[in-house]
Amino acid sequence: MRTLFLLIRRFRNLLLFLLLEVIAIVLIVQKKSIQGTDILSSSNAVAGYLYKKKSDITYYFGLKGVNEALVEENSRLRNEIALLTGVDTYQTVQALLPVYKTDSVKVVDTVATLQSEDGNVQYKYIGEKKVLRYNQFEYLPAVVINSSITNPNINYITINKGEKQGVRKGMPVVSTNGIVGRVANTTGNYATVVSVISSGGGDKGNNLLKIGVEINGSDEIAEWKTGSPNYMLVKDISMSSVVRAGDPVTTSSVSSLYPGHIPVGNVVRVDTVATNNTKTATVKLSTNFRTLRTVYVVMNDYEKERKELESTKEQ
Amino acid sequence: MSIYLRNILRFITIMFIQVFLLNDIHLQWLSSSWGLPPYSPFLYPLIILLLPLSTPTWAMLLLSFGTGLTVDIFMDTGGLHTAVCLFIAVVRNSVLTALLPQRLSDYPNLSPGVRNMGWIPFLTYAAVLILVHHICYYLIEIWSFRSFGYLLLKTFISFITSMVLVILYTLLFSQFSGGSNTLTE
Repeated sequence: MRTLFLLIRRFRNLLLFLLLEVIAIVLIVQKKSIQGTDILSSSNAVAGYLYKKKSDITYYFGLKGVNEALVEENSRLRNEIALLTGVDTYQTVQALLPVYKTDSVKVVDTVATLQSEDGNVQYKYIGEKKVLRYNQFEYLPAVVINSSITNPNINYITINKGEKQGVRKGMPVVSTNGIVGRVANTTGNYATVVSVISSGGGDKGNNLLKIGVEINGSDEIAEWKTGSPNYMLVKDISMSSVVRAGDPVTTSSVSSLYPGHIPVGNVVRVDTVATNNTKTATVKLSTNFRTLRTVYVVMNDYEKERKELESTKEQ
Repeated sequence: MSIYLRNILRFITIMFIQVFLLNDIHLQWLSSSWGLPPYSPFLYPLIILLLPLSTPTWAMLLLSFGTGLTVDIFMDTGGLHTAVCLFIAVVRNSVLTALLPQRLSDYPNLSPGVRNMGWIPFLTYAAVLILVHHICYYLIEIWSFRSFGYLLLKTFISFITSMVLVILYTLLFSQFSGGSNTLTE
């Protein structure tokens, strides 16, 4: 027993080193999976608070760029609203559906006109309240308080909205210019987001984090071009589809992750892969991750319902 | 100023520079589609480099563990910096023993620095440790020998940037009393 203590005393520095190194490696391994530990992330109380203070100071320096982006977004939204014939898609639309039994009523374009006895035309709604159209997505604005773009595996962004505001794990995040990523961890007032410029740390250059995109109407899979914060790759495009440099790339409406038709970027070059007779397109991301300031967390009201339906086994 | 207070203040200063200034700098040479990878410069190994000469090894290990963990929490890297910091804490004493004429325990209350050691020994010491730090860091980060050239390239350009920062920090925060070197004579 005494020799054991002497041995421990003699190698105490080595043992301490090994112990601490093992703790560090456990932390690394836990972080490699995306649903990793919440304790040591920058969304915790102390680091989150300090980053928020820093963001409060540096926010003013980026106001010009933020304004320009907002003006750009406003103009785009106005165009979209004009296209949608005046229906505000961001609010649940309710209407009173007219239900009549009398013969003197004509229904034209869901507005009921009632011919009264003295010849005046009156409009009357006596139906019950019905919801015509739900808005599926709600956009919660948030400010980026910390972001990284240099990590080859997973790049995180910390935002100043958390569980108290309704942010949950897995929610997609978009910016004024395009897609950003999805929520990885949340605390009371902060959340970390895994950005699209992440590979998930797969072996042999395998990309684990992929998103569904749409180029010229066909659905493809895009992944990050590891090492570059500006580009994504779209592999395995069939030779018959037409893809040219300059084509816009948007999110696919088939994918359950992002809302459809959110801009991803533009194709900058197309390479032909001779070995499997496909094309690979390099896409320049429209989101600038270096100057990212305001983002929107997208809350999908039907997400749960869709997941339940899709996970139902065939009976 | 007491040696404890001085080291705590240095910790806060360097950590502030690292977390709030350097982590926002994403250096990238040749910003094209096929250019070099982006990286952030590191200054925080200097906290471990400038600990007093007579620090016992166990204390050095615990302090490096704390330093690495702080950087990890702010940079969302799990335990990457912690593992690397422990390595340079182990290497540190051997390098210092090779560079200095007396035993390390003979220098109470002194920190390695330009004023005590002179420029050439101090820069040699800093270069060796920072090189060890960067090689270990990028080895663990990339976690393969498959792209060995990429690893060397990233280590090299990042090493140069870090050395420039170390020299700038030394020039800014050391007092040169114009006297002789107290340790190497």
